[in-house]
Amino acid sequence: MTFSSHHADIDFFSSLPPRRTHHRLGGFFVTPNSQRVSFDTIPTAMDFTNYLPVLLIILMAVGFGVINIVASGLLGPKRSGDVKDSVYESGMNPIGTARKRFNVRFFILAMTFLVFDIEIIFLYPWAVDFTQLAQGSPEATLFFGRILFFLGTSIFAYIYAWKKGVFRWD
Amino acid sequence: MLDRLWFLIPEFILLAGAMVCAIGGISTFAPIRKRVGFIASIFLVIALFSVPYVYGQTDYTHPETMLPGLGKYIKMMAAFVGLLLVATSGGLIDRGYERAIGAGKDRFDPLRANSGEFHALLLLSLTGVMLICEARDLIWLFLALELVSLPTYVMVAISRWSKTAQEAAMKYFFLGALSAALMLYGFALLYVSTGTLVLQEITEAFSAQQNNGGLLVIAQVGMLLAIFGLLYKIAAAPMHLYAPDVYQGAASAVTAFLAFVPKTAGMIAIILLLSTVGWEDGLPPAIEMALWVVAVLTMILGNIGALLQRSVKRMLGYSSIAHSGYMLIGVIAGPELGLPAVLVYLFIYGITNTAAFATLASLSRGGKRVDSLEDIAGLYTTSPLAAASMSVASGSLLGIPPLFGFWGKLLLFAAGIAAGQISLIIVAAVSSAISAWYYLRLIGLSLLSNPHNHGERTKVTLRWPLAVAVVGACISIAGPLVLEGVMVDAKEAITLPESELAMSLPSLEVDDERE
Amino acid sequence: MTPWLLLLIPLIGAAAIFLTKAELSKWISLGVSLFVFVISILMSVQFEQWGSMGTGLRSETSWINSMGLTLDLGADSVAMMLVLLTTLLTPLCVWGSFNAITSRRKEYYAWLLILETAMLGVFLAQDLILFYVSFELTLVPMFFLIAIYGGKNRAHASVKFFIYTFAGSLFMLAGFVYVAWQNAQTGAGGWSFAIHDLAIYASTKLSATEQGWILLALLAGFAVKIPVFPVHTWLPLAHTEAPTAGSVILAGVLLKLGTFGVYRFVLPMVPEAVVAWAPSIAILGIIGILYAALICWVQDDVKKLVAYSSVSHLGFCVLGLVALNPIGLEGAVLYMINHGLSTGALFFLIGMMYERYHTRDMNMIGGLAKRMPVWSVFMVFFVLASVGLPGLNGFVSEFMCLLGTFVSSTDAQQWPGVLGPQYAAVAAIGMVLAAMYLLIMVGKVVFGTLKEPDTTDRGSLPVDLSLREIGVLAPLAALCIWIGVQPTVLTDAMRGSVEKVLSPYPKRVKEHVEQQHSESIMLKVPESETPDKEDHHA
Repeated sequence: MTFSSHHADIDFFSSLPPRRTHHRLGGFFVTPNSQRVSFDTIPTAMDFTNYLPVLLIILMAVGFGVINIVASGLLGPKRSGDVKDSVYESGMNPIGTARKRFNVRFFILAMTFLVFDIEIIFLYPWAVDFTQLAQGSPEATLFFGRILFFLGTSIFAYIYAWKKGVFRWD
Repeated sequence: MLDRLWFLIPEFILLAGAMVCAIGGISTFAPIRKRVGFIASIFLVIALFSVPYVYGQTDYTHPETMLPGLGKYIKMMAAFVGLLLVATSGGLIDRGYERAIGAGKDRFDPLRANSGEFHALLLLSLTGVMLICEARDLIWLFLALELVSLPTYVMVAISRWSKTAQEAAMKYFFLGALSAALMLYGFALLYVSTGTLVLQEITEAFSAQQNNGGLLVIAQVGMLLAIFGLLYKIAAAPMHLYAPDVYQGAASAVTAFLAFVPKTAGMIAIILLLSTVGWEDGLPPAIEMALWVVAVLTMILGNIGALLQRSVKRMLGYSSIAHSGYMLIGVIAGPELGLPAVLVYLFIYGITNTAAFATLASLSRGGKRVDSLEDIAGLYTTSPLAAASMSVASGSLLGIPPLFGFWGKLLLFAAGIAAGQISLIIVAAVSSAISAWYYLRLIGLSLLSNPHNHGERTKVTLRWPLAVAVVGACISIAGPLVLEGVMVDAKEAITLPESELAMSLPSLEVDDERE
Repeated sequence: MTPWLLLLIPLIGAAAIFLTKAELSKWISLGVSLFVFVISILMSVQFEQWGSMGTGLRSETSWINSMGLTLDLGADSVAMMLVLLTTLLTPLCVWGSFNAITSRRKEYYAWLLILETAMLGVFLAQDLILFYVSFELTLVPMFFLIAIYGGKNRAHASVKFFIYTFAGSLFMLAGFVYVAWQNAQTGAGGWSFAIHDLAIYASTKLSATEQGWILLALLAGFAVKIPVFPVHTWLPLAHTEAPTAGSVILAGVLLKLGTFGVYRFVLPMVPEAVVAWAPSIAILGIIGILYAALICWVQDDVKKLVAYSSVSHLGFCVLGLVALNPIGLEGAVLYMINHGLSTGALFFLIGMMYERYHTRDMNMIGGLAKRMPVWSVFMVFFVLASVGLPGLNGFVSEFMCLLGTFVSSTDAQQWPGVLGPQYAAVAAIGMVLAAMYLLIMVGKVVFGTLKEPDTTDRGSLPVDLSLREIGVLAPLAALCIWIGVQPTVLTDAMRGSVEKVLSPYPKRVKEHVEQQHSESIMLKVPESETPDKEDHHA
């Protein structure tokens, strides 16, 4: 299935002069042993086994919702009233005009939260790739240095946001 | 890997500068806040001088990026023109606010101060331009391009406290997102057709495809989509429609920035992408045809559009569209003459165009920013210096010899003719002639007309932009003296190292061995 | 002496004007331009190439090696004559403007000096791009001279002047670059823009089709400047609106840039195409002669009349250029100089009149001989020179142009051409028309009853010409007489250059004739083979 670029069975590459191999470290998009498709045919069949975890997560997510709704419907007490029958919106009144003005500080805070949230997510694939590298090798050191740099910029952004008064509420 | 980081030193310097500016801009100590521009300039100067050092220390010709020499030229150019652009925006941001604080009428609130962010974003955008040269794969290229664009959206929005600026920023942002999506889709198709994101490997894949009977259709479609996304960055037809509105809505200093930095970024990105296909056997017909049509449309629409304007900024906006069209001639013509010509042209255009916008940025009429043609009528009566800079810059943009702009055009003409694109050259000649009309209008209004009687006179209120305008005009006049050096540098930037040439032409080697 | 003196001294003078007081500017520019004139006289005395085909006054400076651009200067005998014409007319123009220019004086005199540099650059350039740069650089000072100091319609006139010439010359540039590229491709040392090398290359190596396209491209630039009939419309407007000195320079030198360009580039570079296109160009020239002459006839505005007469006169020059024999070409070159002298002087005279009466309408002025006898003498003199009175300069060159056209037939022995008596005959009508419109003008303005308009305001000027004004006109008059009496001095001096330009033509014309002949035979052959024809013969 996987065609490594160094296999001799793809003839027009075997005639190339030897070239440096790039270790695409941190290959979030291209994994270290990149899957190379042959060039005269577009891949027609795909191996879906890689997507099994995704399928599982989808099933779990859907199942979680369905089970909760079904279970609360079966088990919970049934009392009705104006408030009880209304849609649950985390304490907001769901009926009325949607064009309601929020304090702009909500947005700033929300965006700041999002930024840091996503930055944290980025640490996961990094950690997964990091474990594949030999500990103490120069590549691993560089890889570690990169994430430190990345965290440094995040910390800088945090200081900046703080000084800017994003977290102030007066 | 570390040696690649070595070449990113200028970028790191600018990144550090951006951080310092961002923090400095919200300092409670007013003298620092007011001098953020100087801080940014200092970092730009350091970056400028670091480039020759960085590239002088290590051999940069080993092929990892498509055009390894490109970085040296582009980084120096970006840092140099960046300096002019920082000076152009001197006095633009927070001027009234700081004055109010100084007079004790207002209290300092970090949330309301924008100067630090403005300069930080400016430096970040320039960092993006520099990073594009080092792009080795499509992901890097895309991220660098976005690093160029994203700051500009904010810069447009905070450049003026007016609804037009907000509108311009929104327009710019949404269309920019659209173009990024187009480009990304193109990149995805390139990935599909080659199975790799690394530009070098794409090159190999393409040459393999060409040996097997031409590029795959899907590769051509991907390339076209990517280029169309990039046309937005260089403001070329049919993706040029936003340019006049945005250029008019933003403050003149930011307009100068928009007219140079994203354009440079897009132009380099197009060159990088096309160099994966290579010009050796001619570009694939579909791509060449598309570029031809785009170049012709851009030249004609840009110049005719500029004829019809009553606003100087819109006029210069359309003119910058037309200049993209001229540069596309060089892109079509290829690496031998065309690409160096494009690089030289970018440099010349960057300086002269900045000078023109800087003149506008320095002026105000009755407390308002200058925009309409009327505003600059009779400029020589109040400021001969501004009028002269405006005229020299216009003349250079028009390409009157012996001003700097002429030489750029000459190189592009020569490249086009050498590539056999006679029809393009004829269109370029005709549209240049059309452009004479509106550039002469700028010259005539500022140097020859009498000022309008009603309303206040236009005056120079900001010194730094005027200084930029004068410097730009002086370079436009004296530039031909250093032309040879610029040309040699541009040639070096494009020349492929020996080993890469060997790699991009695998088929020839195979034949030699078999025979 | 290095030719750079001629180019740099005016520029330094222009810089000096900007740095000093406005009152001094006219004296500085007069001094500088006179100095340049003296230098050019000295150079022409030392010039060794009079009569030969060589190029003197050489100076070689390399500039942009990667493109093969140089700053080489040099002049052959024809260029040297035009250099002298330029350096003569410039101080006269400066001197003649002393009274007319009252506002923005610094710029005015500085632009005049920059214009001088540009014009001299055109004649001295030995590099195509240097030539082009100078050629275009003349536009800028002239644009400002017209746009700042011109008449009521100056904005329109200046822009039209600029755009016409700019548009045309862009095509010319494309043509130049094409030749240079072809030359670079054949490998002999890469890119070069040396005029001499490219002329040899283009005339020998390029195919007839390529030469045809290059001819069109070059003519797009030069024909506008000359101006040839369909693209002449900028000229009357520019002339009418320009200040006096502007008109003088425009008529005296700038129009010659076009004819000089044809002489220097079109004729040596693309002989095959010239032979093929000469009749068409000549016809355009003749249309220009007659059409402009007829327009002159109905003019009320004296200045416009002289402006259109330039179009008409330059038609003769074009005829001489494409006659392809030494008589015609020498006539054309001589015409360039003569037209510069006599038409320049006419513009001076009209300017002097305008400064006193503030109108140029022939119906409002009349009989000035009674009021301004000296002016009238000069007026009549230069009109006669312009009309072509034997003994004055205009006659010689006009006659030579027409004679050249007349004898330029395909069966001529030494110098065959492609025109013939019929062209000369039609063009000669232009001479008659010229006599008519110019003499009618003289009759109205100089003679008859005295008419002075209400707008008369002489300011500080005397009723008749002042000594300064006489001083401006006298040298021109003297030259007109000298050339009229001894034209051979000039024609002998230019002969080498002219014959060098013409050297490829006899062969080309013969080839062209043979080719046409064989084509016509080929057309006839099937005809003669038809049975009808054979029957007829039988």
